[in-house]
Amino acid sequence: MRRAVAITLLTILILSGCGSPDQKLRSAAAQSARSAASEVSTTRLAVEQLRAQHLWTRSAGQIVKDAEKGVETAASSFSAQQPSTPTSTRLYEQVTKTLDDAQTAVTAVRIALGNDDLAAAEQQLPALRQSATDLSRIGELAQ
Amino acid sequence: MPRTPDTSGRVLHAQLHLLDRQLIDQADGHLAGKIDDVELDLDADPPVVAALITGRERITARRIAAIDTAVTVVVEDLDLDYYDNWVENHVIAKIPGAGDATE
Amino acid sequence: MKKVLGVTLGILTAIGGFVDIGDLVTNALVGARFGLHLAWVVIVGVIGICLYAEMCGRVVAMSGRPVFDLIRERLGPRTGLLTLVASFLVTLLTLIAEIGGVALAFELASGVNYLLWMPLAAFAVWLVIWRVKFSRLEQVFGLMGLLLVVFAVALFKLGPDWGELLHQATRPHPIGHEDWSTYAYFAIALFGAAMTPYEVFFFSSGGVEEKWTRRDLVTARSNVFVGFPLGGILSLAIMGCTAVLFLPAGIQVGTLGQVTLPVAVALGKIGLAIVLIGVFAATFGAALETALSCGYTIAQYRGWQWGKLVRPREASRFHVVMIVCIVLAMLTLLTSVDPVLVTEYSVVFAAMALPLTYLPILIVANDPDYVGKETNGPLRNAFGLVYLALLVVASLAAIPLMIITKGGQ
Repeated sequence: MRRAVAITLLTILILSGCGSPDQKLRSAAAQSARSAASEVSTTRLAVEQLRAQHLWTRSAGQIVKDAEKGVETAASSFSAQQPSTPTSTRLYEQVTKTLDDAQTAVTAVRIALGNDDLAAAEQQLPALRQSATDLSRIGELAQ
Repeated sequence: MPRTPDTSGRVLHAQLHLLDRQLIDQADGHLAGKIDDVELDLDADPPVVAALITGRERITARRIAAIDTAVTVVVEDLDLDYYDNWVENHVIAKIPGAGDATE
Repeated sequence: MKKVLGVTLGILTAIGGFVDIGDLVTNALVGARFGLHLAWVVIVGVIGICLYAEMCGRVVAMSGRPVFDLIRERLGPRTGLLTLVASFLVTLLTLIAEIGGVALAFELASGVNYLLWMPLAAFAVWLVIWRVKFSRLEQVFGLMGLLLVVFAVALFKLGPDWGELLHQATRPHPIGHEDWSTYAYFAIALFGAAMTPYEVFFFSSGGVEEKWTRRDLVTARSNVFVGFPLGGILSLAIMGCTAVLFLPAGIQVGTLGQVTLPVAVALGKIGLAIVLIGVFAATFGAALETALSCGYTIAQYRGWQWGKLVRPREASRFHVVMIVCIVLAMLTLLTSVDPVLVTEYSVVFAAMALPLTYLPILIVANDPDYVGKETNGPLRNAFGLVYLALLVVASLAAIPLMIITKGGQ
């Protein structure tokens, strides 16, 4: 009985964290990227809906504020990764840059909405779209 | 079998019909705790319920008015609401509106 | 007229209980990640809660006693205490999530930080419990919560490919980046959200507050069979909205704003206003219910006088328990913990407590001592046991899955 329990626990622990270091970094990159992509797409949707007058500025602003926090979390949790091979270091730098671009765009939208400047927010739309595409590509790197 | 003026003797299963059952005050229907223990008079044949124990109070069998999904008892001078009254006096009564029936 | 008003208890319990912050968040989240591939869990959950809520209603109508009152009697002191502790803690956790939800709704509407709304929300919850009549409470929040039907309207307006949705719903398997462990984890979460314990405690105690007798058996049943399925339909509508709008866009749901966004997309500012009022009503109503349920569970276990049907001073310990719980909830939220995260965990913990909550109901509903001739028939018992087995499986799998999926990631 006790052995069965021990084996079950061990299996659970193993399942929750295994893989080579490269694989682990790709996995972390994909996860952070998908998370950030979600926030960027949310921001884009919020701006588009604001433009279509489906949202109030206050609510859109709140949605973007939350999205900004989300990108920050994704970026900081990825930046804590430790790349150990040349391949993963390159990947690390690439992903970090993409995440930073995402953060810049979303923050710009947040600031614009905070100043009730819809035009400035709309200006970020191309950047948001590009960012979402780049992040989605990284998101496909791993399961 | 509890001997009370109103009800005829009934055969009860102490665990199923009495223990942990809700007590109700016959006078106003308010809830008065749970039956924590049952005191039996084993000298009688068959054994008879002598009293119900709840918290610090002992309710003699004569006070049992009805045994249904809850047990109704005649409370009179027993202090079954000691703790609730304490909380009432020290906490709840200090909040405005404590004595108002909800509108 | 009394019959119509009587149905509102079921509607409040259903809307407030079925579509509370747990359902709003979980259904939206699942829709965005799995489309409708987990829709079947909602349906199974609705059937389950209907089955067991009917038993509770029957017990109240026939015996005049709420189910929790009888738990200690039938299960004995030790199992009864375990049930109490598990149910109480889960209900308290849910209360924290609900008050958080109320504050988030205000934040979304006003742009003012939710932490500033929190104490106000907590105070308002207490004040309504202190002063407002039970039936008034039901009617107001029950009717306001019906505004959440706007999710169904929005889903239609979004013009989804119904064939595609049906295709998803009939294929119960994970998709995209999800695997079976996250699939199972969120199935458990949905189950917990649909059958969460406080729903039956509130329904059961509410029956006593409304002074149901055996004549009200019909009312009890219509409450159950109108209210909970309605809640289930709304849950599926919420899931459908994010399945249609977010799944293709790769948007994951983590905030209340994202939950309501599909309604704004479909119906504009008016839709957003309606959904925010609906969300407020549902979460505030659920906060009232969970706070009352915290009081009900402890008071009924101990045999104290409880209920809104007496003056507060006549049920002092009952009211003190609720005040303490509301204050604890507020303090927990003031630590800036994310209310949506609390919600996500609360539904999984609710799933874990389900077998302990529902087993006594099955036992009591079979006991002629309490329900007279209206005991469960063999068919009901068969269903009841099947569900109980399901709940035990879900309950045991919850923690391992939580570890494996790292809380659903």
